[in-house]
Amino acid sequence: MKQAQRVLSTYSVDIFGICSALYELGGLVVIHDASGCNSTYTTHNEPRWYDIPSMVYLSGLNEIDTIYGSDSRLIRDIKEVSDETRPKFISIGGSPMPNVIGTDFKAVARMTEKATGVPTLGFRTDGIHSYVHGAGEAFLAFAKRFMVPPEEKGTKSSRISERPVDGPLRVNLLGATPLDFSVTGTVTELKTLIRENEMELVSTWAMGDTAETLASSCRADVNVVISSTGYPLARWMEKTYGIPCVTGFPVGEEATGQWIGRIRAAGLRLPEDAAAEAAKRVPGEIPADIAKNLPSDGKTLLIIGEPVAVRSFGEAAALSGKFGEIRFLCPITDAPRELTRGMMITDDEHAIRKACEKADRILADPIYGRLLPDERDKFVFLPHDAFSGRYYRDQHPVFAGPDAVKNILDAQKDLVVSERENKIEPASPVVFRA
Amino acid sequence: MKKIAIYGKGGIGKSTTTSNLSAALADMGKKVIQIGCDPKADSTLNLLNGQKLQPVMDYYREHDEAPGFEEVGVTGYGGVYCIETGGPTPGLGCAGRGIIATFDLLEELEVFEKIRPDVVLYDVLGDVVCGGFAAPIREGYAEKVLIVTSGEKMALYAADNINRAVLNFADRGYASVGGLILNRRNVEGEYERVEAFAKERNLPIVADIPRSGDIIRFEDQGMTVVAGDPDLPVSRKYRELAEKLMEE
Repeated sequence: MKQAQRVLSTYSVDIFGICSALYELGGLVVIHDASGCNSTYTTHNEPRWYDIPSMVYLSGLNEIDTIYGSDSRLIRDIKEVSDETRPKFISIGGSPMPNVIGTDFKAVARMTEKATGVPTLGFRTDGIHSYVHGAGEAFLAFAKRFMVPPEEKGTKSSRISERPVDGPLRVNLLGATPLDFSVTGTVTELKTLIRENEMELVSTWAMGDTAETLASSCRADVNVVISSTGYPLARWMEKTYGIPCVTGFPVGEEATGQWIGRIRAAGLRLPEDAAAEAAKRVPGEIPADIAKNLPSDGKTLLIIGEPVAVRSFGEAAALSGKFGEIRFLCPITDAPRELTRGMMITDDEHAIRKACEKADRILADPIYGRLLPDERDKFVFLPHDAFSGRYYRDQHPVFAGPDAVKNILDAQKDLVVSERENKIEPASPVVFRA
Repeated sequence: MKKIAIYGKGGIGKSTTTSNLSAALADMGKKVIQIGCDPKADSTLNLLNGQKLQPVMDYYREHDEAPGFEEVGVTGYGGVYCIETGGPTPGLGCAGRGIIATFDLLEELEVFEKIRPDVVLYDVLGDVVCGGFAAPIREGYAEKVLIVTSGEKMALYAADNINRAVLNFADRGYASVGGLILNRRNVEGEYERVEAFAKERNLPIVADIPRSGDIIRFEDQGMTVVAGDPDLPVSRKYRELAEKLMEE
């Protein structure tokens, strides 16, 4: 049965990507939707819900509002909440329902800003696009609105903030949300790697930093895109401030050294340096010299997931020399095209099963294991919050850094057990949290 | 890129005006996209030798999937790229949603980026009955609205409704009304009536199109009067309007 999802999950949608991206920044994040339809957000998409306070407001869209397209009630309610909580900014997006009746969130944002005096971002959401699209737009909109440009140095080419002589290389990590990295230490590991290699971590978009830190992050020398949610922002900062970007995160010891080298080369703008050339190539692409040395009689590895992650894992697999062929499958069909070149792009369960059948080994979220119940041994499981939510959160390994490969392999036993035992638990309602 | 939405009472001549404007702009060497936003899907008929093109919504109905760039529209007179949103059978479904879905698709297929038009004309169904019919004047779409009217009472009544609706949307950052196009029906004191209406609302009359049998004659042949005989007085009026719009 084609186009039917029988055993697979779906990826988090755009509005949840927005919520995740902006969660820690002190804004009032509004979800325009009927009450009760967003429990998946709190239970599956936001692991910080019970630990880090944030202001998330659900509008409680009702039938009469739907008939009348009553934006005025929504704006009035947001104003009331805003007056009470005094957020740094407001963001507004919604579910499929307001999308169907043609709610214009950009117009609502404009009117809300006028009513509240608080800077307001409006997002065109439909609850159908993926979190990659939503979080990517959220980071970009936040930057366009709040980023403080470095002091102008005259010409456009020198608009980038000048690094002090002998000062450390200044780095931003772009694209950190629990949807891609959970809250189990992987982002912390990436931050530590930057700092331990004598670079200055300016900001991480957006886990662990304030809105103010992010707003001043264009003084960085280089951006590192660690998930596709950070890609639109990286492209914009490159165009606007001339900040180069490196894409990918390191998996394993050798890859970690190379990653640091690529960041340095890009940040120091070493045009003739081989590492700088490497930084320019398709993010995470397997270098030609490694690709041609892959053993011809080796096994075929299929990696399924978010494009920056799958290429990063692909690079590690190539460096291991254990596979004859490495294939990439991106089920997030609206991920930036520049990042998915050469990948199979499909969210069709039938097509994904076929791709899995053809592979000898598969690295994917544990839910993909259900496609081939009799061939579970083929799989190396790596949970992805945006796909399996909280099901495997306790078994998340730290999947970046020198020990990443070992961590992933060590986690397998628990993940297999967990995959067999996971059950759907009752969801709790979304409530306003100040 | 100039983006203009043409509104007005049903049957007042919006499609005729829009198509002639497209043809005149094309004759000036401009790259034009005309988008019919009406379930009847007959906006571009006279740019296509009287042939109906497949509306975007009809494609969805027949193929269960979105059309690609090649299927979304066709090239008509003077290279004008013609698109019709289409919509459901009257009495069924949600026509406004059809307009929004088509606009989303055009964005997704990067139609404007690929064609790089000088002018986009939206020909919109007369009655703005729901959010979908206001979609052409949202931020990022048309910047200017032109209202087609005659001197008839009901046409002016509809023009007033449209003008007030657009004024109501001012807080939303939508398009503003750029003026009236008088499409004459030869009622008594027509110009004076429309002039008084326009003055009261501080709107300019940007064109005064005479009633002409030539329009109907060429439409019977599946073409605009501008294409049929560009030197006729009525064709000159359309060309003057096209020039005026490009100058602004």
